[in-house]
Amino acid sequence: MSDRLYAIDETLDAHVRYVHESALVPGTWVEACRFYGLVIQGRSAGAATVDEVANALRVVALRAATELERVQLEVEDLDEDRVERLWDRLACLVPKEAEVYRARITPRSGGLGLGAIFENAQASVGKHWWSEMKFEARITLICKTCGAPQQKSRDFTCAYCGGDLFRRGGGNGR
Amino acid sequence: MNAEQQALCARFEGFLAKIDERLREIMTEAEQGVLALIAQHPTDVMPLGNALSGLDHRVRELKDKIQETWDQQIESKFSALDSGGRFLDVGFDMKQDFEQRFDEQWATFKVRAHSQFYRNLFPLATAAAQKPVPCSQCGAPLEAVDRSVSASIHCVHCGAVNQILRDPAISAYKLGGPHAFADEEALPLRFEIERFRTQVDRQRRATSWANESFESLQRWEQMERAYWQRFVEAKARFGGEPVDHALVESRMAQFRKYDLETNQIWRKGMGLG
Repeated sequence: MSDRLYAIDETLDAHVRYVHESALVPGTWVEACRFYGLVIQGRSAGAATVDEVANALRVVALRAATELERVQLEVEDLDEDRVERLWDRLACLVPKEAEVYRARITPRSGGLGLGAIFENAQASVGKHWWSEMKFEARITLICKTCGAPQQKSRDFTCAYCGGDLFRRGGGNGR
Repeated sequence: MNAEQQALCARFEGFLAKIDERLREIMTEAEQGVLALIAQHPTDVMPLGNALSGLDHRVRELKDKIQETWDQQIESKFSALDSGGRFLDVGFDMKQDFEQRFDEQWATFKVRAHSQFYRNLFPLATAAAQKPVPCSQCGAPLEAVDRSVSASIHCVHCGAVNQILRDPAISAYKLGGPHAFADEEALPLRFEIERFRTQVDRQRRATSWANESFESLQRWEQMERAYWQRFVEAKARFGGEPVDHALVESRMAQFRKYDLETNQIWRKGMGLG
C-alpha cells in the first residue's frame, strides 16, 4: 500500500516544481498565490520574493503532512522507512527549497566579482520616499457639500449644488 | 613577414585572445545577473541601467589594458622589427581590429540587455492594457482609456470624471520599448559605418594620406542616413506611430555640419566653395 506514499511524493514534486516555475513569472505567481490561499502585499509587480516562496511552500508542506497523517491512519502495512523519509523531506522542504529559489534569483557573484555590481544596482530600489507611497489608480473628486462626483474636467464647482469640489482653507477662499 | 615578426604577431594575438576570453567571461556572468535583475524588477529599468553602468566601468578597465600594454610593451617591439613603416602598421591594425570587435561585442550586449528588459515587460504591459478600468462611482467600464498616461476620463454612464493614473508597466514599455528595439535593429548598420571608416583610414594610409574621395564621402553620408532611417522606421513599427523623418533630418544636419562640411573635398564636390 505504498502507492499512496508514492502519490504524496509525486504530488509534492509537482507542487514544488509549480512554485519554482511560477515564482519567476509575475502574473503566474499571483495565480499561484491565489491557489495556495496567500495574499501578496505591498507590491504590484516582479518575481516572487524568497519569503513569498517560503510561504507557498509552507502551504504545500502542510497539505502533504495532512495527507500523510491520513494515510498513516488509514493504512496499516506502510513501509516505515519510506514514511520516515517522507516526514524528513517535509521537515526540510521549506528552508531547502527557499534556499534553492534564493540561489536562482540572486545574481551570481562568482569569480569575476560582478555580484557587487548587481547588488549596488539594486541598492537604491525602494529607497525613494515615494516608493512606499500607496495611492489609488482612479480618483474622482467629490463635492464636499452634497457628495456628487465631478462632472467636467477642470471645473471644480459642483454641477448639482454649486458647492466646491475642494475644501478651501481660510475665509477669503485661498 | 619574417619568423621574428610572425612570432611577435603570435604573442600579441595570444594577449588579445586573453582579453577576449576575459570579456566573454564578464558577459557570460553578467548575462545571468541581468536576467535575474529583470525578473526581480520587471517594470523598473533603473536597476538594469545601474548595473550596466557598473559593468561598463569593468569593461572599460579591461579595454584600457590593451592600450596600456601596447604603449608600455608592444609598440616598441613592433617598431624595433619595423622595416619601412609597414610592420608597425600591422601591429596597429591588429590592435584596432580587436578593439573594434571588442566594442561591438559589448555594445551588442548592452543593447540586447535593454531590449530583453522590454521584451519581458511586454506581456505585463499587454495584460495591464487589457484590464478594464471601472468608473470609481458607478463601476461601469470606462471607455478608451490609454493607461500609458494619466488622464481625466468622463464616464459615459454616470457622468463622473475619473482621474486615471498611468500604469507603470504600460508607460515604461511605451517610453523605452520601441527605442530599445530600434537600437537593437539599427546597431549592425552602425558597426558597418565604423568598419567602413577604418577601411577608409587604411586606404589613405596606404596612399600617403591622400584625401578621401568625394564618392567615398558620399557613401559615408548614405550609410549614415541608412542607419537613422532604419532606426526611425523600426521605432515607428514597434511603437505603432508614424515614422519620424524629422529626426533623420536633424541627425543628418548634425552629421553634415561636423563631419562633412569641414572636409574641403566634400565642400568642393558640393559646390560650397
